[in-house]
Amino acid sequence: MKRCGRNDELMMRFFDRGLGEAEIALLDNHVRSCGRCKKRFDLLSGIIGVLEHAAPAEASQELDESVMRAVRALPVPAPAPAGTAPVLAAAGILLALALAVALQGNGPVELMLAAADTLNGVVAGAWKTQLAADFIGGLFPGLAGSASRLFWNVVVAGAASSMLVGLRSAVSVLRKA
Amino acid sequence: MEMTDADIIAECLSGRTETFAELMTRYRRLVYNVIYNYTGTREDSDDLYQDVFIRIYQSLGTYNAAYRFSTWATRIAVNACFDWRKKRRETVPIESATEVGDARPGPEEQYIAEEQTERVLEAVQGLPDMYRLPVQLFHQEGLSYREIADVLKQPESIVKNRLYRARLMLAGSLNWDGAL
Repeated sequence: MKRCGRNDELMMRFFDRGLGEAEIALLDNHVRSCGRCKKRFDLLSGIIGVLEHAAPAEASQELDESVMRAVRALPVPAPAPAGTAPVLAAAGILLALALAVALQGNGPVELMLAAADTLNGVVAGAWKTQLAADFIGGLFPGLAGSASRLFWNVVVAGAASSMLVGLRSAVSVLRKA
Repeated sequence: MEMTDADIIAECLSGRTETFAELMTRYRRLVYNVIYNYTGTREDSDDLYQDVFIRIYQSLGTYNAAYRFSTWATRIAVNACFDWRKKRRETVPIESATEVGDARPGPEEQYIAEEQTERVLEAVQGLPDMYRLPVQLFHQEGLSYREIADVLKQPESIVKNRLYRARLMLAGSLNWDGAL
Protein backbone atom coordinates (compact mmCIF):
# COMPACT_ATOMS: atom_id res chain seq x y z
CA MET A 1 0.00 0.00 0.00
CA LYS A 2 1.46 3.36 -1.01
CA ARG A 3 1.86 6.06 1.59
CA CYS A 4 1.10 9.72 1.38
CA GLY A 5 3.46 11.24 3.89
CA ARG A 6 2.09 12.83 7.02
CA ASN A 7 -1.50 12.59 5.81
CA ASP A 8 -1.70 8.84 6.48
CA GLU A 9 -0.93 9.59 10.12
CA LEU A 10 -3.37 12.51 10.17
CA MET A 11 -6.09 10.30 8.71
CA MET A 12 -5.61 7.69 11.42
CA ARG A 13 -5.68 10.32 14.12
CA PHE A 14 -8.84 11.73 12.58
CA PHE A 15 -10.51 8.35 13.07
CA ASP A 16 -9.17 8.38 16.63
CA ARG A 17 -11.10 11.66 17.03
CA GLY A 18 -7.75 13.11 18.01
CA LEU A 19 -7.34 16.03 15.57
CA GLY A 20 -7.76 19.72 16.32
CA GLU A 21 -9.53 22.06 13.93
CA ALA A 22 -6.33 23.18 12.20
CA GLU A 23 -5.25 19.61 11.52
CA ILE A 24 -8.70 18.66 10.26
CA ALA A 25 -8.52 21.56 7.81
CA LEU A 26 -5.08 20.37 6.71
CA LEU A 27 -6.33 16.85 6.14
CA ASP A 28 -9.44 18.11 4.39
CA ASN A 29 -7.34 20.16 1.97
CA HIS A 30 -5.15 17.21 1.19
CA VAL A 31 -8.03 14.77 0.70
CA ARG A 32 -9.69 17.18 -1.72
CA SER A 33 -6.58 17.37 -3.84
CA CYS A 34 -5.38 13.75 -3.67
CA GLY A 35 -7.57 11.18 -5.39
CA ARG A 36 -5.89 8.22 -3.72
CA CYS A 37 -6.29 9.64 -0.22
CA LYS A 38 -9.89 10.61 -0.94
CA LYS A 39 -10.70 7.02 -1.89
CA ARG A 40 -8.94 5.71 1.17
CA PHE A 41 -10.63 8.23 3.42
CA ASP A 42 -14.07 7.37 2.02
CA LEU A 43 -13.43 3.64 2.38
CA LEU A 44 -12.22 3.94 5.98
CA SER A 45 -15.09 6.31 6.83
CA GLY A 46 -17.54 3.75 5.50
CA ILE A 47 -15.99 0.88 7.45
CA ILE A 48 -15.69 2.81 10.71
CA GLY A 49 -19.17 4.27 10.26
CA VAL A 50 -20.58 0.75 9.98
CA LEU A 51 -18.70 -0.35 13.10
CA GLU A 52 -19.68 2.65 15.19
CA HIS A 53 -23.32 2.63 14.16
CA ALA A 54 -24.02 -1.08 14.03
CA ALA A 55 -26.98 -1.76 16.30
CA PRO A 56 -25.70 -2.97 19.66
CA ALA A 57 -26.68 -6.46 20.67
CA GLU A 58 -28.89 -6.79 23.74
CA ALA A 59 -28.93 -9.54 26.31
CA SER A 60 -32.41 -10.78 27.15
CA GLN A 61 -33.90 -10.01 30.55
CA GLU A 62 -34.10 -13.75 31.23
CA LEU A 63 -30.32 -13.94 31.17
CA ASP A 64 -30.07 -11.31 33.89
CA GLU A 65 -32.59 -13.17 35.99
CA SER A 66 -30.66 -16.37 35.47
CA VAL A 67 -27.44 -14.66 36.61
CA MET A 68 -29.16 -13.28 39.70
CA ARG A 69 -30.49 -16.73 40.60
CA ALA A 70 -26.94 -18.10 40.36
CA VAL A 71 -25.55 -15.17 42.35
CA ARG A 72 -28.04 -15.69 45.18
CA ALA A 73 -26.86 -19.28 45.48
CA LEU A 74 -23.21 -18.24 45.74
CA PRO A 75 -21.39 -17.30 48.94
CA VAL A 76 -20.76 -13.59 49.44
CA PRO A 77 -17.40 -12.80 47.82
CA ALA A 78 -14.67 -12.00 50.30
CA PRO A 79 -12.23 -9.13 49.85
CA ALA A 80 -8.97 -10.50 48.47
CA PRO A 81 -6.19 -10.88 51.02
CA ALA A 82 -3.26 -8.58 50.47
CA GLY A 83 -0.60 -10.09 48.22
CA THR A 84 2.28 -11.87 49.92
CA ALA A 85 5.00 -10.31 47.76
CA PRO A 86 4.90 -6.81 49.29
CA VAL A 87 4.80 -8.32 52.76
CA LEU A 88 7.81 -10.52 52.05
CA ALA A 89 9.70 -7.65 50.46
CA ALA A 90 8.97 -5.39 53.43
CA ALA A 91 10.00 -8.18 55.81
CA GLY A 92 13.25 -8.60 53.90
CA ILE A 93 14.05 -4.92 54.09
CA LEU A 94 13.21 -4.74 57.79
CA LEU A 95 15.26 -7.84 58.55
CA ALA A 96 18.26 -6.46 56.68
CA LEU A 97 17.93 -3.14 58.49
CA ALA A 98 17.52 -4.83 61.84
CA LEU A 99 20.66 -6.90 61.34
CA ALA A 100 22.58 -3.88 60.16
CA VAL A 101 21.41 -1.85 63.13
CA ALA A 102 22.43 -4.71 65.41
CA LEU A 103 26.00 -4.25 64.24
CA GLN A 104 26.81 -1.36 66.50
CA GLY A 105 29.53 0.98 65.39
CA ASN A 106 29.47 0.23 61.68
CA GLY A 107 28.25 3.64 60.66
CA PRO A 108 25.43 4.84 58.43
CA VAL A 109 27.19 4.03 55.15
CA GLU A 110 27.15 0.27 55.68
CA LEU A 111 23.60 0.51 56.95
CA MET A 112 22.45 2.30 53.83
CA LEU A 113 24.35 -0.10 51.59
CA ALA A 114 22.66 -3.11 53.14
CA ALA A 115 19.22 -1.54 52.76
CA ALA A 116 19.90 -0.34 49.22
CA ASP A 117 21.13 -3.80 48.24
CA THR A 118 17.86 -5.31 49.38
CA LEU A 119 15.71 -2.66 47.76
CA ASN A 120 17.64 -3.02 44.53
CA GLY A 121 17.04 -6.76 44.49
CA VAL A 122 13.29 -6.37 44.98
CA VAL A 123 12.80 -3.62 42.42
CA ALA A 124 15.02 -5.16 39.74
CA GLY A 125 13.38 -8.56 40.18
CA ALA A 126 9.88 -7.12 39.90
CA TRP A 127 10.76 -4.98 36.89
CA LYS A 128 12.40 -7.79 34.96
CA THR A 129 9.56 -10.14 35.71
CA GLN A 130 6.95 -7.60 34.63
CA LEU A 131 8.83 -7.22 31.34
CA ALA A 132 8.83 -10.99 30.87
CA ALA A 133 5.11 -11.20 31.70
CA ASP A 134 4.32 -8.39 29.21
CA PHE A 135 6.38 -10.15 26.56
CA ILE A 136 4.59 -13.45 27.08
CA GLY A 137 1.20 -11.69 27.19
CA GLY A 138 2.04 -9.88 23.95
CA LEU A 139 3.00 -13.03 22.12
CA PHE A 140 0.14 -15.10 23.47
CA PRO A 141 -2.73 -12.88 24.63
CA GLY A 142 -4.57 -15.95 25.90
CA LEU A 143 -1.76 -16.47 28.39
CA ALA A 144 -1.99 -12.95 29.79
CA GLY A 145 -3.64 -14.24 32.96
CA SER A 146 -1.05 -16.98 33.36
CA ALA A 147 1.72 -14.48 32.70
CA SER A 148 0.29 -12.27 35.43
CA ARG A 149 0.21 -15.21 37.86
CA LEU A 150 3.75 -16.04 36.82
CA PHE A 151 4.69 -12.43 37.56
CA TRP A 152 3.43 -12.61 41.13
CA ASN A 153 4.98 -15.99 41.76
CA VAL A 154 8.34 -14.77 40.57
CA VAL A 155 8.00 -11.56 42.58
CA VAL A 156 7.47 -13.67 45.67
CA ALA A 157 10.56 -15.67 44.78
CA GLY A 158 12.40 -12.41 44.08
CA ALA A 159 11.40 -11.02 47.45
CA ALA A 160 12.67 -14.15 49.20
CA SER A 161 15.87 -13.91 47.23
CA SER A 162 16.22 -10.26 48.20
CA MET A 163 16.00 -11.19 51.85
CA LEU A 164 19.00 -13.43 51.32
CA VAL A 165 20.85 -10.60 49.59
CA GLY A 166 20.10 -8.38 52.56
CA LEU A 167 21.33 -11.02 54.96
CA ARG A 168 24.48 -11.49 52.94
CA SER A 169 25.15 -7.75 53.09
CA ALA A 170 24.59 -7.73 56.81
CA VAL A 171 26.93 -10.68 57.33
CA SER A 172 29.53 -8.98 55.21
CA VAL A 173 29.29 -5.88 57.40
CA LEU A 174 29.54 -8.10 60.47
CA ARG A 175 32.68 -9.78 59.20
CA LYS A 176 34.31 -6.47 58.48
CA ALA A 177 33.52 -5.46 62.05
CA MET B 1 -28.49 10.22 45.08
CA GLU B 2 -27.29 7.53 42.70
CA MET B 3 -24.93 4.96 44.14
CA THR B 4 -21.45 4.83 42.67
CA ASP B 5 -20.06 1.55 41.36
CA ALA B 6 -17.80 1.42 44.43
CA ASP B 7 -20.84 1.80 46.71
CA ILE B 8 -22.62 -1.05 44.97
CA ILE B 9 -19.57 -3.28 45.23
CA ALA B 10 -19.26 -2.49 48.94
CA GLU B 11 -22.94 -3.40 49.37
CA CYS B 12 -22.44 -6.72 47.57
CA LEU B 13 -19.38 -7.52 49.68
CA SER B 14 -21.35 -6.82 52.83
CA GLY B 15 -23.90 -9.44 51.83
CA ARG B 16 -26.58 -7.38 50.08
CA THR B 17 -26.47 -9.52 46.98
CA GLU B 18 -29.50 -7.92 45.30
CA THR B 19 -27.57 -4.71 44.61
CA PHE B 20 -25.54 -6.67 42.07
CA ALA B 21 -28.55 -6.38 39.76
CA GLU B 22 -27.90 -2.63 39.54
CA LEU B 23 -24.32 -3.25 38.48
CA MET B 24 -25.58 -5.62 35.79
CA THR B 25 -28.05 -3.04 34.56
CA ARG B 26 -25.26 -0.52 34.14
CA TYR B 27 -22.87 -2.79 32.27
CA ARG B 28 -25.05 -5.43 30.62
CA ARG B 29 -24.90 -3.82 27.19
CA LEU B 30 -21.11 -3.32 27.29
CA VAL B 31 -20.43 -6.87 28.46
CA TYR B 32 -22.87 -8.46 26.04
CA ASN B 33 -21.49 -6.53 23.07
CA VAL B 34 -17.89 -7.33 23.87
CA ILE B 35 -18.85 -11.00 23.96
CA TYR B 36 -21.16 -10.92 20.96
CA ASN B 37 -18.65 -9.06 18.81
CA TYR B 38 -16.10 -11.71 19.71
CA THR B 39 -18.15 -14.88 19.36
CA GLY B 40 -20.51 -13.71 16.61
CA THR B 41 -23.36 -15.96 17.74
CA ARG B 42 -26.27 -15.41 20.09
CA GLU B 43 -26.12 -18.86 21.59
CA ASP B 44 -22.48 -18.66 22.62
CA SER B 45 -22.89 -15.05 23.74
CA ASP B 46 -25.81 -15.92 26.00
CA ASP B 47 -23.84 -18.67 27.73
CA LEU B 48 -20.72 -16.55 28.09
CA TYR B 49 -22.69 -13.53 29.29
CA GLN B 50 -23.98 -15.44 32.30
CA ASP B 51 -20.57 -16.93 32.95
CA VAL B 52 -18.90 -13.49 32.82
CA PHE B 53 -21.31 -11.84 35.24
CA ILE B 54 -20.94 -14.73 37.66
CA ARG B 55 -17.15 -14.36 37.39
CA ILE B 56 -17.51 -10.63 37.98
CA TYR B 57 -19.60 -11.25 41.09
CA GLN B 58 -17.17 -13.82 42.46
CA SER B 59 -14.24 -11.49 41.83
CA LEU B 60 -15.76 -8.34 43.32
CA GLY B 61 -13.42 -8.64 46.28
CA THR B 62 -10.42 -8.24 44.01
CA TYR B 63 -11.72 -5.17 42.16
CA ASN B 64 -9.16 -2.39 42.19
CA ALA B 65 -10.82 1.02 42.24
CA ALA B 66 -7.81 2.45 40.43
CA TYR B 67 -9.47 1.16 37.25
CA ARG B 68 -12.88 2.08 35.97
CA PHE B 69 -15.35 -0.69 36.59
CA SER B 70 -16.14 -0.85 32.87
CA THR B 71 -12.47 -1.52 32.11
CA TRP B 72 -12.26 -4.23 34.74
CA ALA B 73 -15.49 -5.88 33.59
CA THR B 74 -14.35 -5.73 29.96
CA ARG B 75 -11.10 -7.42 30.90
CA ILE B 76 -13.00 -10.26 32.55
CA ALA B 77 -15.23 -10.55 29.48
CA VAL B 78 -12.26 -10.61 27.12
CA ASN B 79 -10.50 -13.26 29.22
CA ALA B 80 -13.68 -15.35 29.17
CA CYS B 81 -13.75 -14.99 25.38
CA PHE B 82 -10.16 -16.24 25.18
CA ASP B 83 -11.09 -19.24 27.33
CA TRP B 84 -14.14 -19.87 25.13
CA ARG B 85 -12.01 -19.74 21.99
CA LYS B 86 -9.47 -22.11 23.50
CA LYS B 87 -12.17 -24.59 24.52
CA ARG B 88 -13.84 -24.28 21.14
CA ARG B 89 -10.58 -25.06 19.33
CA GLU B 90 -10.34 -28.23 21.38
CA THR B 91 -13.86 -29.41 20.65
CA VAL B 92 -15.11 -27.96 17.34
CA PRO B 93 -13.85 -28.83 13.85
CA ILE B 94 -12.14 -25.88 12.17
CA GLU B 95 -14.65 -25.74 9.29
CA SER B 96 -17.58 -24.99 11.53
CA ALA B 97 -15.54 -22.79 13.85
CA THR B 98 -15.07 -20.31 11.01
CA GLU B 99 -18.79 -19.76 10.57
CA VAL B 100 -19.63 -16.49 12.28
CA GLY B 101 -22.59 -14.22 12.61
CA ASP B 102 -26.32 -14.75 12.87
CA ALA B 103 -28.60 -14.49 9.90
CA ARG B 104 -30.02 -10.98 10.28
CA PRO B 105 -32.89 -10.70 7.80
CA GLY B 106 -34.26 -7.17 7.37
CA PRO B 107 -36.58 -5.19 5.10
CA GLU B 108 -35.72 -5.43 1.43
CA GLU B 109 -34.92 -1.72 1.06
CA GLN B 110 -32.21 -2.09 3.71
CA TYR B 111 -30.69 -5.07 2.00
CA ILE B 112 -27.62 -3.34 0.55
CA ALA B 113 -26.80 -1.49 3.76
CA GLU B 114 -27.24 -4.65 5.76
CA GLU B 115 -25.09 -6.61 3.37
CA GLN B 116 -22.37 -3.98 3.70
CA THR B 117 -22.65 -4.10 7.48
CA GLU B 118 -22.48 -7.87 7.37
CA ARG B 119 -19.36 -7.78 5.24
CA VAL B 120 -17.62 -5.29 7.52
CA LEU B 121 -18.49 -7.29 10.63
CA GLU B 122 -17.32 -10.49 8.98
CA ALA B 123 -14.07 -8.82 7.96
CA VAL B 124 -13.57 -7.75 11.58
CA GLN B 125 -14.29 -11.30 12.73
CA GLY B 126 -11.62 -12.50 10.30
CA LEU B 127 -8.87 -10.41 11.90
CA PRO B 128 -6.49 -12.08 14.35
CA ASP B 129 -7.41 -11.37 18.00
CA MET B 130 -4.51 -8.98 18.48
CA TYR B 131 -5.98 -6.67 15.81
CA ARG B 132 -9.64 -7.47 16.23
CA LEU B 133 -9.98 -6.59 19.90
CA PRO B 134 -8.57 -3.04 19.62
CA VAL B 135 -10.96 -2.37 16.70
CA GLN B 136 -13.97 -3.70 18.56
CA LEU B 137 -13.15 -2.07 21.87
CA PHE B 138 -12.36 1.31 20.31
CA HIS B 139 -14.94 1.62 17.54
CA GLN B 140 -17.76 -0.52 18.85
CA GLU B 141 -17.49 -0.15 22.61
CA GLY B 142 -16.03 3.36 22.71
CA LEU B 143 -13.15 2.56 25.05
CA SER B 144 -10.16 4.92 25.11
CA TYR B 145 -6.61 3.82 24.30
CA ARG B 146 -5.78 3.88 28.01
CA GLU B 147 -8.74 1.64 28.83
CA ILE B 148 -7.95 -0.79 26.02
CA ALA B 149 -4.34 -0.90 27.21
CA ASP B 150 -5.61 -1.81 30.69
CA VAL B 151 -7.98 -4.46 29.33
CA LEU B 152 -5.38 -6.10 27.09
CA LYS B 153 -2.45 -5.46 29.43
CA GLN B 154 -0.48 -3.91 26.61
CA PRO B 155 1.20 -0.51 26.36
CA GLU B 156 -0.90 2.21 24.72
CA SER B 157 1.62 2.54 21.91
CA ILE B 158 1.11 -1.11 20.95
CA VAL B 159 -2.68 -0.76 21.11
CA LYS B 160 -2.49 2.30 18.86
CA ASN B 161 -0.22 0.62 16.31
CA ARG B 162 -2.44 -2.45 16.22
CA LEU B 163 -5.55 -0.37 15.71
CA TYR B 164 -3.92 1.54 12.84
CA ARG B 165 -2.79 -1.69 11.27
CA ALA B 166 -6.20 -3.30 11.77
CA ARG B 167 -7.92 -0.42 9.96
CA LEU B 168 -5.57 -0.84 7.02
CA MET B 169 -6.15 -4.60 7.02
CA LEU B 170 -9.91 -4.01 6.95
CA ALA B 171 -9.57 -1.46 4.19
CA GLY B 172 -7.47 -3.95 2.24
CA SER B 173 -9.94 -6.79 2.63
CA LEU B 174 -13.00 -4.60 1.89
CA ASN B 175 -11.47 -2.77 -1.01
CA TRP B 176 -14.67 -2.99 -3.05
CA ASP B 177 -13.72 -0.64 -5.88
CA GLY B 178 -9.95 -0.94 -5.79
CA ALA B 179 -9.61 2.29 -3.85
CA LEU B 180 -6.27 1.33 -2.35
